[in-house]
Amino acid sequence: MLPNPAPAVLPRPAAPAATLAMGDAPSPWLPGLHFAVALTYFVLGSGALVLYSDHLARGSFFMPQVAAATHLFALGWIMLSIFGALYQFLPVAVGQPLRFTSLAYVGLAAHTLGLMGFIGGLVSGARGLLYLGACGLSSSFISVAFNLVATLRRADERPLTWWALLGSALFLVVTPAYGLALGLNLHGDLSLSQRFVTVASHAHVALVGIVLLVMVGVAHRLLPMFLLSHGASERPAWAALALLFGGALMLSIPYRNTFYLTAAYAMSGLGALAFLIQAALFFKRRVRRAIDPGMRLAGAGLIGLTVALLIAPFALSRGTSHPPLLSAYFVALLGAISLFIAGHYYKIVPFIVWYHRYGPLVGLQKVPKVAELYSEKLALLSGALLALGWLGLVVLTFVGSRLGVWIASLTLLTGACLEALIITRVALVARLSAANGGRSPR
Amino acid sequence: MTTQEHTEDHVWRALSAVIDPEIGLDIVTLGLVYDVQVAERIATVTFTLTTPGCPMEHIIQSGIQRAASEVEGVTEVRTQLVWEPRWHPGMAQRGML
Repeated sequence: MLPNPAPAVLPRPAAPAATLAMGDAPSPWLPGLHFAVALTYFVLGSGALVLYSDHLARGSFFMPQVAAATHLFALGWIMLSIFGALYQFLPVAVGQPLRFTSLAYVGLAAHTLGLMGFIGGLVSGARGLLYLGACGLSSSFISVAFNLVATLRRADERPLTWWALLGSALFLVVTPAYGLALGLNLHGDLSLSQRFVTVASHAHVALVGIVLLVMVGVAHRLLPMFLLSHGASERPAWAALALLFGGALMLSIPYRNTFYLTAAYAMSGLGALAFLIQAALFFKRRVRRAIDPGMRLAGAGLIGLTVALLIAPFALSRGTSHPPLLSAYFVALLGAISLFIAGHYYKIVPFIVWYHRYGPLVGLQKVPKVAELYSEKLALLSGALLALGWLGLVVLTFVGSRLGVWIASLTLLTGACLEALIITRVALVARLSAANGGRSPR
Repeated sequence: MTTQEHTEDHVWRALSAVIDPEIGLDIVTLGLVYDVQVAERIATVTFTLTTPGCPMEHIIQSGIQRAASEVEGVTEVRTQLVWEPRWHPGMAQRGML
């Protein structure tokens, strides 16, 4: 016999109940604005790669222009996508509304303006602008961490996702502190190899401690749902959580002993490997054999992460003595994460649009499926361009082909522009379609 | 078929209009509806979701209420979200996933 919980009652007539339909999810504007700015930075970052492809092909890892392109991806595209997804996902995951919604908007403004100043300062060499931008970015990171902890502490249950997001909150504070310290010592007496060790630690604290930890926590909930995968073991995810947190924590401590650093990177690498195993288990146990464009692109990102993981020991041990390898490694890592995130845009944005536009019509009239809100063919084309561009960039940066890197960057830029157009169309056209009887915008 | 069974049958049919937009199938085909009972013009629908914490909970619940309340002979709809037995893909109609 089935249990008998207290039933929810709705007497006839059943008018669409907005509060019930919206649940704890925030206004679509909050994640929507984050995604809009993130996509803009995705296009700008890809454009910067085209513009500075010469420097990249030469393996000029420390050139301000290359650093500017890297930060457009890392801070603009990747971080803002993560923040937007967190603001949408967190209330649903923990069953509590976001604690400080206004703070999230203020953080977005600080982040957007801060990154513009930071990039402007990097490219022009204006130190004041650089520090001002860094302050804006730091306040954004800290505001997200504060909101995250304030929301998480209200949760009744503490599953893996809860712990992963709590762990990432720590590194949301550590990363800007590390970055500011690095910025202040940028013109100091550090040798090239010392500077490499510091820059590499800073980058990996952010990528391992924030990006990968959030990916572990969020993917743990979303991948089984998107793939309709049931019964996969969760042990690899727990191992990934512990190892990534431990690795990022070790890298956060400015101790520069070779054995210590090797242990920290090994722990981070094993954590990433455990995450990949978990993701592979979800893909393997999926019930639906057909994979949509979003999950294909996310899968390509996971393959890319495997490639980055294979290159990592060689690139990090050789450091600045082999600039093309080092540049190819960072391109592989940032590009793989970018593909994973770009894939999720095809799942998250159409879902949010569907939820708000068509959700209240469910049960009353025929509504489109989430996947019908965009053209599958165009999404596949955009994904293929992004994946090809990424692959070309990794290989040709390593080889040092200037023309090749330029073509690969252009391919990536075309894919990024196409994805930005598809997602914008979903967000804008679906609105008109809803007003026109709920027909799909395809 | 009694009037009550007849109304229950219509509620089942009405629930076919409630889709899981991510999977693209309706909740009856997916096997998410465990039971429908109508007594004294009150329809009680017992259902589950593919996974706990599914973001579709509110949409599906309100969709059930809207769809069932459209059925002739139903004046009130009650929904019961249950997690036992836990849903698994084998509960969906064969060959539909």
